[in-house]
Amino acid sequence: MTTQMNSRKMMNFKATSFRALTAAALMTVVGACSTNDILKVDRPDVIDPGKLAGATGAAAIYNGAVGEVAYGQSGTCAGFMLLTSLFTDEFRFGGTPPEVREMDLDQIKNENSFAQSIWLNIHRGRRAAERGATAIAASVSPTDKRVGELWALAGLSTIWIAETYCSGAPLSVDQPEIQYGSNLTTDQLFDAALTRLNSATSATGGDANLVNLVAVLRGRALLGKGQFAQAAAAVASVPTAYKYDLLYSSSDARLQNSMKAYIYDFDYTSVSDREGGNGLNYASAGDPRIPVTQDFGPVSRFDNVTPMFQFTQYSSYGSPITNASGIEARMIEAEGALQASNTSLWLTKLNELRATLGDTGIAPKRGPLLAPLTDPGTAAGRVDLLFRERAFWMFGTGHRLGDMRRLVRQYSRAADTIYPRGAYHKDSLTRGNQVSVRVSIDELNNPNYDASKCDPTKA
Amino acid sequence: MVRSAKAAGLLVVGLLLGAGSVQAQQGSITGKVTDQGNGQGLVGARVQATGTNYFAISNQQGQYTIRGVNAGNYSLRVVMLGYASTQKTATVSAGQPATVDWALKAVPYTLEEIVTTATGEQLKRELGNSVSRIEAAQLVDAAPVTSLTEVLNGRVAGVVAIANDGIVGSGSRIRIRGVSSASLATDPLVYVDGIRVSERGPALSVGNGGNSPSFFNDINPEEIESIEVVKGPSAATLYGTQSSNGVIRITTKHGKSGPARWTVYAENGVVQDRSEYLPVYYQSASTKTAGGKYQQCLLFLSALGACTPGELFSRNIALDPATTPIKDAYRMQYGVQVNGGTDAVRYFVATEFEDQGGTLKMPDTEVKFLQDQRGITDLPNRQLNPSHLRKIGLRSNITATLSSKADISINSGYTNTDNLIPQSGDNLQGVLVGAIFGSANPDKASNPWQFARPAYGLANQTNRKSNHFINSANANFRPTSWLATRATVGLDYIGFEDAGLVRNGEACPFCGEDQGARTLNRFASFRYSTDVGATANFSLTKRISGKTAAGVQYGKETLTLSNNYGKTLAPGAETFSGAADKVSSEATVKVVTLGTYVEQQFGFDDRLYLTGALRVDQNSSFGESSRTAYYPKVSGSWVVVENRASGLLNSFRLRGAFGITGQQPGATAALTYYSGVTAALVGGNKPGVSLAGLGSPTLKPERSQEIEGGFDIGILNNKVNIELTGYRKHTNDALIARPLAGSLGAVATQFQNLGTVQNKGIELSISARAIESKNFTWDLNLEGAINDNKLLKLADGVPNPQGFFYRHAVGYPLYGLWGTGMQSYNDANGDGIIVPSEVVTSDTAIFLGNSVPNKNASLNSSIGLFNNKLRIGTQVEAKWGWKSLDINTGFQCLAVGDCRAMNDKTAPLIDQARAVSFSFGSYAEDGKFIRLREMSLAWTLPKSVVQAFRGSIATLTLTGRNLAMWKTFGSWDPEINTASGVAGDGPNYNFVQPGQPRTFLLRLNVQF
Repeated sequence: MTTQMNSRKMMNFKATSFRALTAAALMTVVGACSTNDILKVDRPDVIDPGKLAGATGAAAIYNGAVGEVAYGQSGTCAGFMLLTSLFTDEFRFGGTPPEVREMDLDQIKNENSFAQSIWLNIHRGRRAAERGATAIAASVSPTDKRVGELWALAGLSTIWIAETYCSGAPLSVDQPEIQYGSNLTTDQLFDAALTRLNSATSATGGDANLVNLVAVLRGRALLGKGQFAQAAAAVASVPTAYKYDLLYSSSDARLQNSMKAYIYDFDYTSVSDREGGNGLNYASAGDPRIPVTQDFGPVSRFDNVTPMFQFTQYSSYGSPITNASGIEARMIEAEGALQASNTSLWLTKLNELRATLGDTGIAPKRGPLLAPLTDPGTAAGRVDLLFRERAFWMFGTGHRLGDMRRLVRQYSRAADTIYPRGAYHKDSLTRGNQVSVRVSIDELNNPNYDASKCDPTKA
Repeated sequence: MVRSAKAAGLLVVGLLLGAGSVQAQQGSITGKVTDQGNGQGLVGARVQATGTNYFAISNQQGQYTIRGVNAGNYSLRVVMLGYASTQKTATVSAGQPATVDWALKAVPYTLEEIVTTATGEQLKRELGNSVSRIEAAQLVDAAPVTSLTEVLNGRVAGVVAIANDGIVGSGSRIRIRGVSSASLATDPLVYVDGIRVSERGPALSVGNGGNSPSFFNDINPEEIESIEVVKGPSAATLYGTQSSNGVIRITTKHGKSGPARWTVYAENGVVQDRSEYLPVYYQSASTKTAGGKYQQCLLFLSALGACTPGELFSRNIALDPATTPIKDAYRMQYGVQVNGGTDAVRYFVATEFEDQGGTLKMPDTEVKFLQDQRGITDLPNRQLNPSHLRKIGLRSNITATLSSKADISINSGYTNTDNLIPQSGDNLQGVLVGAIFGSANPDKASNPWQFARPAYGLANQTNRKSNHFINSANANFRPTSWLATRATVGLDYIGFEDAGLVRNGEACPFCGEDQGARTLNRFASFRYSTDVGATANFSLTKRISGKTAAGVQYGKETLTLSNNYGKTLAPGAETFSGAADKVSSEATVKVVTLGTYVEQQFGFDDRLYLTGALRVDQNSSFGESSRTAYYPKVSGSWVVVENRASGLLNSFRLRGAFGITGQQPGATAALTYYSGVTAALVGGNKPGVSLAGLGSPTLKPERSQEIEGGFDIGILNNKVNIELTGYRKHTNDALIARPLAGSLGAVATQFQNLGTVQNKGIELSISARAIESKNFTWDLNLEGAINDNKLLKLADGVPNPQGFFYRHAVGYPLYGLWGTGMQSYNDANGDGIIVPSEVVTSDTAIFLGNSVPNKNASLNSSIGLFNNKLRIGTQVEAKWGWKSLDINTGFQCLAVGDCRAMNDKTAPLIDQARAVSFSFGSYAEDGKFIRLREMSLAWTLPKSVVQAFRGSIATLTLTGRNLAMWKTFGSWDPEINTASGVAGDGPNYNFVQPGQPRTFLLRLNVQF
């Protein structure tokens, strides 16, 4: 180091150094002050929860919650409808993504990312309804009928969980503080649904549509618990022409009924026919309740293998999905009668519906009258007939898996005689032995959840 | 504006403080810098009085003048790339020029380089950390590089550039010292002329199968003077939050004083895809259907007695001349640059046009099909040639020396890009998908494609157009010999649009848009940078010098986007105006960072340097309760030996550094909030709200702390230079998008500070002049690195986050490949066919391997013949220590049954076993490869030839890229990562993207 400072600078060394350090310190301090203003950024995409108070906010919360339940059902490529329709004998898969195929194979793996999304989206609908009901009750009125409807939708979402997922699925709460739920048996899940429906009952405002919705859902939950008489009683006042739809729309990807895309756009899902040997003959029955076409040829254009039958009920992105109806009420009554050994009433209930098909007011309106049924004469035959009627009346509405599980659980049928089993229709694969859907792997982030208590091979 | 004014005010503070010094009697230092060998003047040499701010750069004649120098004695140092640095003394008297001439000796390597740091320019010897530098200006004339990624590739130890696919315009992943973040961006920061610019930028927002361009490649290598790579937190501390992945600093070319010097270049060449695409197989059954159609009899089914095999058919749809979607494409590039000026004002102006076709095309049989179907002969060119890149670039850099104490530089760059991007990759409309998963069934001979045939798939056009401006202004004011102040302001602006169009009646009938669709998504990205700082030099004693630097940096990023989509178009319509179904949305993302820093350096005898620094950052994305982050650093550098002209050891420097940087969470990650949604209700669609974020107010930046140490050594008359660096980086409070329990019904993930990630490794750089004579020189450069990446821990009770075939598992690398797969097999009955019962497959996911190469090396060779008139360059690159998931073969076998292993009984047993394991994890294959990445032959034309067209220097260069590859990987290119263009490092799978093409380019470069 040979550099020398000139004499003047040597003399001023201390002053110079002082100035340098002062400059540095000043810049640091000045730069750091009043930073709150500097760091403030506007975020137009963000709606602060505090801005949702009052009537306008309540409307937005209600709308969003109803939309969230619909989205969880079928508003996305990974919706409840896709899962439950493939898992049962209703639809079969004509595409290639292995994770969707696992649903059709009754062989859903832990890591299945589609299953993760579906599990989340069903709960998002449930929680949106619960949060919404609570918020509107607080900000508008506890008896506002929107409160009742949202509790009913929370109940519906809980029924989906009870009917679809293994015994041992949890229900958690995200706000105001996270409360992780523990494993709930199927029976406890139906109880949880009934609790929400009880909350709905107290806030119907006398609205007939809402009263009927709660009644049908209560009947469905009680049926799941095996309380047949109570179920029948719950739905007795529901008119046959009643229905409650979740709505969809073509105008926004989020609002679209994705079943249309799967069936018509991609040839991914086709109405099944005797799927896996045990399945019902939905496609070939020629039953007006399950209208099918083969508009694009006999097999899926996607995999060139899967026989393709389009379910015309979901031919539009805006096709609604019926979630409760007078038809379901009559079916519940019929089952109640059968359980009470009143086969006459049971058959009457079934045939009344078949006789009124085609009348105005029955929805969905699916065609001409159906010929009356006759009593098969055996207990097993009657059960088969009852569940076949349920399967055809409520085809593609998310009821079938609950029924298949009930056949195992309440009617002691062997799962291998109910579920599609054996060789898969393509890809040289063999179907699995799951009878309920395993809870998604992301639930392992719930400290109160014990995955070992969820057995998807049990109904 | 208020913030900019504040920053400017800080500069004034510095200036006022400096203004207190008494004006001294001043003189100047002048002289000429020449090459000792030939006496010619050297342009660009930096002559500096050490310990002061006095310096000058030599002009085109080698002349330099340092003005406004206070009277006194000075030690001068000259630094020039390719020449040995030397020191001289000068005595300056008032009003008198001191003349100091320099005759520099050319040496292959030297310790002395000027590098740009966060606090300004510094001698590399003062730094305690490794900084690698690429002299891009010298590289582009001779090497086959067409993008910034290719400039970086294989030239800096520790930097891994992974090309995702071979589609023209496709972006790459740049990783420095491994992957640090489990859920955040892992790209390094990029600075151009002192301002922060966009790295990759948002992924393509129109679905096309995974490919996406990168704004990183908007920076034209032809305009770059040099690139410096700051590799890790130990060096990047003063760049603050977001710099934990390293920093790439780019300095563009600037004018040198002297007469206008023109450079004109033209490049033409051919781009070829010579990938060995997979054939398809069809084992027919011995009997046909009642309708006379072939039936397939898969190998294992025949072994199980389910069918009897008949004839085996195979074909290669991708390579058959009639059906191939592969073609040779062209590339052209033309540019003009001029630089010159006076000592007062200098300029560099450049413009360039680049045009390159892609290697995909509409197959000939599909052209005929469409001509028949549409009843026309002229098909849209964009459907016939669905891949294309066109760029236009402009740059103007003006530097003005206002006085001996002040200069200002205004730098403006502009790139216009139009990139037509084909349907490819993970996409049922992908043109290669149709071929690789097609059928060899003779019944399908005329339409062998799987999923959408190319005639339909290529009707779906996707493109990105962008206008990218990088503008900066830099001012330097040196009010005294000891104080230098500087201010840089700049704006990186990108306006771009992603568009997609498929017309009614032209689309794939089962792909969801058969009645036409139009997407038009428009983005505007603004990145403001303000950097104000001051550096004070002083001497504590004759042997101890000091340097104090302090500064303030303000950065603001804004991204606004408007998405529009219309479906069901009228016949002939190309806009969404008349679409039956329309969707639109918008979004805005804003992030502000304010950082202040102070750095103190002490130098002992100009040999030992100790540096300490602290940066304080505040960021709008941090949680409300943790708004401030502190990043300290310390480093030391000891020049043990220097400038020994001969002998074994010529120079030796030890260095070490420790530093901390951070990585910010997403703009809204700390917030709990709702977003607006539309709901379908009775009476029509209505506005609603949906929970969109469940944030944590205590969210902090993740902190990466790194310690590194190493040495630089020059031996054998400075003919061999070795740099060895070891590092260990711990990323604490790692921000991980933790999956939330679905039963909460909230959101899918929540960012939490959950874990610790470790990266440790060694980097080695050896440069050697193996042979040196007048007519033959041979330079070799080896860059090698090893990285060990591991997630050390996760917070208690947190399951391993995971995604599609990847997992962040404790004890394993981030984004490691995980899955179930074949573990063993045994042809128990010896029939030569493996059936499922003869294969053992793991029931649970197991670790399959790294998804990013953790070892890489490249050997660069340059041979100069006939006094360097003819130069031959090569680059051989190897990457290993990773697995690539070969879903190409896997999907052939497991999803469509057209692979060899499912049909041909002569297929290796292990391939059969993988096929009947029915598990994609069986296809995690060793991704190691050695690639002859570059070859070049550059001929400096004889002066007589050059002067015939009034030139001064002309070079004719023939280059080749991706000329050969040695691999064990099952399908064509192990580097392909289908989704990384849109999803970063995970999911990681190799799936039907074109391989990297081979290019041959002929370039003429003429200086006037």
